[in-house]
Amino acid sequence: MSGISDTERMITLKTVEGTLFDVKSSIAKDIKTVQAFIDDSDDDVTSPIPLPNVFTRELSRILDYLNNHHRFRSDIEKADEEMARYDAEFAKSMSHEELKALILAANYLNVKDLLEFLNQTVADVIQNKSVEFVRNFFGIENDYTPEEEEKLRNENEWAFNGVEQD
Amino acid sequence: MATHSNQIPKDLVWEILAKLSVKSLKRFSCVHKSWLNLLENSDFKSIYYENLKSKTAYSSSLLLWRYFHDERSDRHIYENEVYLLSGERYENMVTLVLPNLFEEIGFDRIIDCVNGIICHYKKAGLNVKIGLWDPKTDEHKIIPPSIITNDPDFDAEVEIHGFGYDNVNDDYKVIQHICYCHNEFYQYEPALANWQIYSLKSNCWKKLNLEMTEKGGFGEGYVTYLNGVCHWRGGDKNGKEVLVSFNLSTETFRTTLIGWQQSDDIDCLTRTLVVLNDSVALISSFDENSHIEISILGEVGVKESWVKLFTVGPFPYIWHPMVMGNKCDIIFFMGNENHELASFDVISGKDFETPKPTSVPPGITEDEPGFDRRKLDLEMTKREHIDNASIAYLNGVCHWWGSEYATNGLEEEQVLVSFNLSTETFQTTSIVWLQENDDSPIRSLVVLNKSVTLIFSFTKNNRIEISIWVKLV
Repeated sequence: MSGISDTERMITLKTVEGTLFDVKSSIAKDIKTVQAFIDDSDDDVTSPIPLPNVFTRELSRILDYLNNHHRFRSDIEKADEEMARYDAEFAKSMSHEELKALILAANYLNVKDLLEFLNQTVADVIQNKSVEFVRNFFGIENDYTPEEEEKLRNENEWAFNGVEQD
Repeated sequence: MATHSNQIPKDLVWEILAKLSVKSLKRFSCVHKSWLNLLENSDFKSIYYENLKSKTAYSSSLLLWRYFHDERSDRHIYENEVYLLSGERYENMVTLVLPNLFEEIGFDRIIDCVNGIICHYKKAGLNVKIGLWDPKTDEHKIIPPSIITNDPDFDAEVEIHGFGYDNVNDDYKVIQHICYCHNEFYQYEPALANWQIYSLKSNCWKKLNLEMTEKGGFGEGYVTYLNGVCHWRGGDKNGKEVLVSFNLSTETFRTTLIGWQQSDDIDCLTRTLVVLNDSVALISSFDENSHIEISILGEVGVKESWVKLFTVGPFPYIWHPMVMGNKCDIIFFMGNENHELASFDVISGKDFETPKPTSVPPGITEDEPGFDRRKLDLEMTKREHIDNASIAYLNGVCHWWGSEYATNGLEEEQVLVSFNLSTETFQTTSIVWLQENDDSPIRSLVVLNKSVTLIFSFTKNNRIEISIWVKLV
């Protein structure tokens, strides 16, 4: 029962649904919102930290991502290659709705690297998509008149070449 | 508490949009009025630039090359330098020495560096050789000669236009244009001209049945490579500046007009073709107030898709942009005497510290220790030719031969000048040879058996005779 990992302090997080997650303090450091909560508490945090905006599905994904990235970083030799493979799988495993929900959670919890990665994932998704797809994706109401939009489309006709099917 | 409405807030949407290509941004200007002209919105621009910066930071070392005329040399020789730059502030600067392609005075040039492989060539008159060099492994390959039609009336002139990696066929290719010039009337014969492509895999050249615009110049900034496509710029038949984009795998090309501001073109000093954010971009520097513009090409073949990203300046000095650095900066050589290298951040508009080379080739930096230059108050006869056969070094003395007028001022006399490097004095010995009737012997100055030796070769009675003269001290 020796070894650093066994003795490392654990922090408990509580999602909206009430699910409890035990997290190593080294992982919690990457979750800036949680770390700020710990830093603000005078005593040792023993009771679960409530996360009123984070759902179980999202927190479980975020922790999976962070745990894996910590593991990759400890093995420098294969780190880049395995991390890239894991990231690609991670991005593929989500529906667009799940992806957006995860962005909101990562934003709330302030997990910088993950948020950056998710933003890039969305950018890759929408890069070659149509205007309608993007409106739909971000839930944006069109505020152009049909005439205005038609004119703008004509001006930028070249930008509509090679657009993927929605 | 099932799925919730996931509305991504505006600041995050902008973070996402800042990662898109200019083509997507132009298309998405139709999404919402607030998405129109995002690249003119200063808040969005700063996010966009930050992204550009982080995206371009992948490259660990940069290859730079340039040609310049060393003004302190009285000979018309253009220097060619290749540097490898690395480090946060490009503080590690190493000068690379290109492998020699053949023994002959000529000029060496680099076409491009793709996946760490440098494509370079050497030209001496009509003689051209191309090499592929990997500086890491020092592997060097000389490309076999081009397909040339031998015609006694025409000289073939080879112009290399691009080098790149064909990602479909996993091959490296070189593209060149060959034109034929009449050796008497100096007129080009367009019917003979053709394009050729070399494939490393098959190790041979192949003719292409294409009519493309040739590149407009020989210096740096005329060609660039990106994702399986070689790009170069030149003037088309109507005198319009165009970009030619040649796809190495399909072996087809597209032409894009570089005419988004034709009226201002008169002021344009220099243009440099670069790669920025996975797109072809053009750095234009203007004479009037020495400011520069960086425009990115949204879609190859569409002249309306040039999008101006940056305008920076004015600058207190005239400068020549070189390449995009690792941090959205431009590396360039200042137009000063020492040919100093500097780098300029296009976003903040600030100069970076000037990187100093760690290894300096002799003759370009005056204040470098060990390169002390001094004028000598001597009147010596100049060297006749600039080839190796007119100089020789032996035991602390430099020898060269040249011509001077004899004291009567009429006859030209050949002399050997021997300059002592330690005393900095010289001796002149006249060169005489017995064959008085001979008009022009070819002479080579060499060192033989620890003596300065002159080799003469004459044509006498249609026979070549060689005589060797040893100078006795």
